[in-house]
Amino acid sequence: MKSLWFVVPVNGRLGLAAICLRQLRRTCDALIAEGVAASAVVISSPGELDALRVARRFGFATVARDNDFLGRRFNDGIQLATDARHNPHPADYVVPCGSDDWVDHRLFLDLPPRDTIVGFQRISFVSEDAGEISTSFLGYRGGAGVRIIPRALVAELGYRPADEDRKRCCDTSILRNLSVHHGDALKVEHRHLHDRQIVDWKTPAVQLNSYREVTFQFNVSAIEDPFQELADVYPAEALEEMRAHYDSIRFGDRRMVAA
Amino acid sequence: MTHGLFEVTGRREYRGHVTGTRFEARMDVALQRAINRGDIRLIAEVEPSLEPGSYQLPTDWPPIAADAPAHTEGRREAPLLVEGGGK
Repeated sequence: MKSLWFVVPVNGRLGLAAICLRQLRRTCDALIAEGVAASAVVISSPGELDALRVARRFGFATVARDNDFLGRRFNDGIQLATDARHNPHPADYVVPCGSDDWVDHRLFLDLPPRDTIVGFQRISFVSEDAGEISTSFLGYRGGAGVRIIPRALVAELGYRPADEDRKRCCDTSILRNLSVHHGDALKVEHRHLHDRQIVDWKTPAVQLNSYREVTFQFNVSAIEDPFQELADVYPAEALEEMRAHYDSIRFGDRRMVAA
Repeated sequence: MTHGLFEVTGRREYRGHVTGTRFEARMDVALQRAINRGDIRLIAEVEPSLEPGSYQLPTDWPPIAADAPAHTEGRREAPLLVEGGGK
């Protein structure tokens, strides 16, 4: 049985992250049911005990690491997933993933050869008020940050392929370092299942890229009512949970205005 | 040596790190040039790694059906997924 770990740094926005981790648990269960041993590692600062507790509740691995450098957090997660010195059953593949992302498990059923990274260039973004969803085509090599990376490729970089001192753009850093190290031996393959294969949920809280930034930067076509749009792909209970989360944000905003 | 712990010693920030701060990075030509210019200095050689006691493995890893680790990469089979864009 081939094995795969999602690598998920969490920093704040625990309400959203908890919903996404619960959905990631469903994703892992779906993969296990179809013959891929799947789990995840959540990396959060030692002070964010709630995030680590939520991860444990869903059966995931955890790493406590300060939030100074995102690259170091990704490296910690990738190393725990793939380095036999720390994990007696190292995963064959890692998939970096945001704590605000949903992914269709079918993206990870056909796993690549040891010299190939699989990337996805179509990703959907949900606006901060959940009022619309848009799809972007990321035309550059590797596409979205969610990528399937074979263990064999990261081994020669000490299982830590990202720049340790990166605060953002860690996906770029990982691909660049692997490309420099492996040269032409490294292949990148892009796949597309459907436009909602990866969903990035934006919220008003602090985040690296806002909805307007990503929709301004890339070619997009927006559709209203993300929940209806996603109903064919993701579980109803996950969508209901997410709808309640956005309703609570709106309710909170109104209370603040009233106050 | 693959990695070093560096301190920013120049007046300007280096790779986003402000003067006086420290960062770990993989040694490369650019870093060596920055050392030569006096923008940064090498504090120590380091091997970045998980910190002992900082992590826990999944509660059910590997899943029962996966007890025999394959560690074999995927075979080329009839693709489930379609390459390229478009729905």
